Amino acid sequence: MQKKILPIAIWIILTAAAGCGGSYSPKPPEEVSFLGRAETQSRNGITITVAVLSREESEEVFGVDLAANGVQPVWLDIENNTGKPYFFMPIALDPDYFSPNEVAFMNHLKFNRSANREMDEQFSKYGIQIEFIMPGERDKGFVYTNLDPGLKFVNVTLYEIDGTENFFFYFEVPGIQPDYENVDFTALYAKDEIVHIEDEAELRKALETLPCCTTGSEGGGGGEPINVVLIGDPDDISSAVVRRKWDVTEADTGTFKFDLGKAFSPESYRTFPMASLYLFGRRQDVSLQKSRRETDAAYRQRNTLRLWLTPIRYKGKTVWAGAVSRDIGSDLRIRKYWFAAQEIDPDIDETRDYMVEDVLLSQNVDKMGYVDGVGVSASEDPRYNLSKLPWWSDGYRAVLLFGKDQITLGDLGYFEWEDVGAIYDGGTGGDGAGAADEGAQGK
Amino acid sequence: MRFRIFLVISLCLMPGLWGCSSYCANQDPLDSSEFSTPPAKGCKVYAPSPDPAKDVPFKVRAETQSEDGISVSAAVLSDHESERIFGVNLARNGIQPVWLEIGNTTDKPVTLIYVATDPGYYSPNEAAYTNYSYASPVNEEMNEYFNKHSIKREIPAGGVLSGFFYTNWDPGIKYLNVSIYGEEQEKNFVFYFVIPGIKLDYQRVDWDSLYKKDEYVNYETEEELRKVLEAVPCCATRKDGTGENDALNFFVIGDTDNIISAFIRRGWDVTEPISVGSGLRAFKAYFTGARYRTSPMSSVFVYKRAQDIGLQKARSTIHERNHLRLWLMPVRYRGMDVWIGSVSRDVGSYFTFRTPWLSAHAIDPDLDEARTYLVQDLLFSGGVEKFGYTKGIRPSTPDDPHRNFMKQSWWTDGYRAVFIFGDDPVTLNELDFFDWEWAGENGAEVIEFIKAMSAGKKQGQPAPTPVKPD
Repeated sequence: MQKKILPIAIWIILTAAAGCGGSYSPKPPEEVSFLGRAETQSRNGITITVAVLSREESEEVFGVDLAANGVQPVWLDIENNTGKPYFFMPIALDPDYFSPNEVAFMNHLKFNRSANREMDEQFSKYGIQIEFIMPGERDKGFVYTNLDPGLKFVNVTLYEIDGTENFFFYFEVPGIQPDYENVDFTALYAKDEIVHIEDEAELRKALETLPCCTTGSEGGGGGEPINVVLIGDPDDISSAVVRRKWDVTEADTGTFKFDLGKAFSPESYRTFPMASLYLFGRRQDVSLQKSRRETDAAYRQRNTLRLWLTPIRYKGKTVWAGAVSRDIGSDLRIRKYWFAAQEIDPDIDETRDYMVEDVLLSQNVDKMGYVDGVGVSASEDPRYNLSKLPWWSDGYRAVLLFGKDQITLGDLGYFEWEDVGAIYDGGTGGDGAGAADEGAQGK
Repeated sequence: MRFRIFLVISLCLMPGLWGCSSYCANQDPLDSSEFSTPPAKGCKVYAPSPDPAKDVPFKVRAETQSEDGISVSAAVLSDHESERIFGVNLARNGIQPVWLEIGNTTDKPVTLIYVATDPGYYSPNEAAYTNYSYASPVNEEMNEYFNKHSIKREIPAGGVLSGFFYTNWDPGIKYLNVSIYGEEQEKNFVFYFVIPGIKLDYQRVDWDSLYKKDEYVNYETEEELRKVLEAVPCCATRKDGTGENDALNFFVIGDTDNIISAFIRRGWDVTEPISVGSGLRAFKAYFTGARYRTSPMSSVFVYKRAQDIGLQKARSTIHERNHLRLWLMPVRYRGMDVWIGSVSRDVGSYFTFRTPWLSAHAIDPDLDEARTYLVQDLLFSGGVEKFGYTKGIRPSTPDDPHRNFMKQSWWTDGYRAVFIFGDDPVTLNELDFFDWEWAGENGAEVIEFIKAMSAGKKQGQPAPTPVKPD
């Protein structure tokens, strides 16, 4: 028995020792290039600069691989040139932010106390001070947030005694390759193909004549419905969906890569590649997804949104045709690396309504409505997508117009087109119509 | 060698056998009749409750609120109840059905906003699909059942709708915000439910015998309160009242229901007492690194008794969580309860000989960091009316730290946060401050600002603009 214990003990010591060979050598943040990507906003005497570090950058600054532990440092520089003290509240940026010592503890080396102490000091020194920033003062440093792959929404909330100020940023974080990077948006349409629309009635017609559904790669029927239309500047649309925690999707390279560590990490599930659907003869331009992070079934249970840029411009804003559906699981109850049997919720309007509610709560939607165009189908006589999975719909597509300002549900405007019976569509009562008028005047 | 081969083979076979056994169960309808338990997943019979409200008495726990012609009744199903009603173990898949009945006596339709009620809710088809078994003929039935008993979004004018809404699973106490939208107004109906089927640490406390009625001392003025709070010892003790353990670094004052509901709103979870069951679950979570949101806490003593209530907010694993302990004081402030609290942040676990199970949670030694987290969290909860800091702990530094009984060091600037909770929601700009002390390097300046502001408020003027430092 003792003979067996000895080699095991040696093996344990050796593996443990493998962790202590490293030394700790971080770089000062000024020498790392992330500040070049920083964005600055100023309002009423407050200036805020924010940058989100990529995996490589955070490794350079802190000397350890923070992303492996799900930590993403966000650089903040807050200047207060007002007459009041402001309190920076990182809890609004990430309710589960990490403390400096916590991040250091995750990365502690096994038998190297002095390096560990150095690490503690380093993380604390670089961490931002969470206290009142007095008039004329400046506070800068890192907040250690939970890792968001691809796009990151950063909400800087400053509290002063009479209320709060919010600054919204969103960043593309280098490190993963989102599928839309493979699309050359300028080459999609020639200049004379673009249809400029100024009038609501014309817009309605144009949206109704969009194809009902996606197709196979060779054209032909059997797709999923085009059930949402998003109108707005691409920046406004993406900041709204990212605020509601939709994630970008990694390009499917088509090759079988089996990176065990990556395949089973929750972050990679959030950006898991999506199957191609076709409209206008091409694959979706942008894929977005919102996975259930609480469970390990993240990519089998997610809402997916595929977007295609249309040739329509409404009042100069881009118009995107979208297909939204809910992945509810895969046929085989094992994790697998292909997409064939991804089951969707056949009641596809449920998912469309989810999308509408979710995006309205982002408060970036100015106006909404419904148009015809998908075609009615019932659960008794459903239609089928390419994987032979059934779906049915009341035939309406939701139209969402995005703006730059914050709009609460009460101030929302409506396109008075189809009466879907949804309350958001004000066509049902006199007051609702009034709201639509107000919305029109607000434009 | 032979053993190793056996091990490898059995490991390889395990998933296969597992899958096969459930498959076999599908094939033989007689199997289910051998068990007295209701037939569950994997059998050819799907036997949900034909009339949930009658079969399972969850409705007795339902709570009702009404406002402006809209009434909402809600009840949360326990794991056991949802299994009896739906015939499948929903809790295992992270689903917790909530029963809702919404009545609309206005003359306009209203909408239940699913996403505001639970941003990650399950659609009926999805909730059913998670419980499908391979090639089972009952899947369709299950799907129909889940759809039939779900609540729809739109409630017509003068109508009543009822049914289940499939939310994400929460242990212990569930915070439910039923969000209703109609005609340019949004209404929120807020409920807190203690979910049956789980023991909670505060349930073992005999509240009436903690103090005799005449032991409570009531204070009416802020100055008295400040003196009392400053005189509270710095730290928790051993069971006999000696020694210095964790720091007592905050106070919460108010109606206990208001206090606890503010914590629950911000995602804090209640705690199970140490027992065989909770111990096993914690042990399992320790080795798998899983999340265990109500994991038991060790006892820490103040007034020679263990904490009355433990609350925790878990991050992704059992090793990382913020946790706090509360003790009721024999003190009242304007008739409200006063609690001492101790909050700290668990940053991981380490190997030690100091506990029988050879491991302990490492706390963040910068104790004020956890206090600052709590301050932000509670101010955002909308429950705090007045807030400030008081002294009471000997300040310490990383070079000369305090140590708790686990010989872990901690340091602090010595301030304690004081929160007063009100009955009504308070937005951040209505918040009041005690002008006692303020934590942080520029605390003195902040106090001056607060004093100047409250002086301005008394004279009915807007807050004055302090002189900018050069």
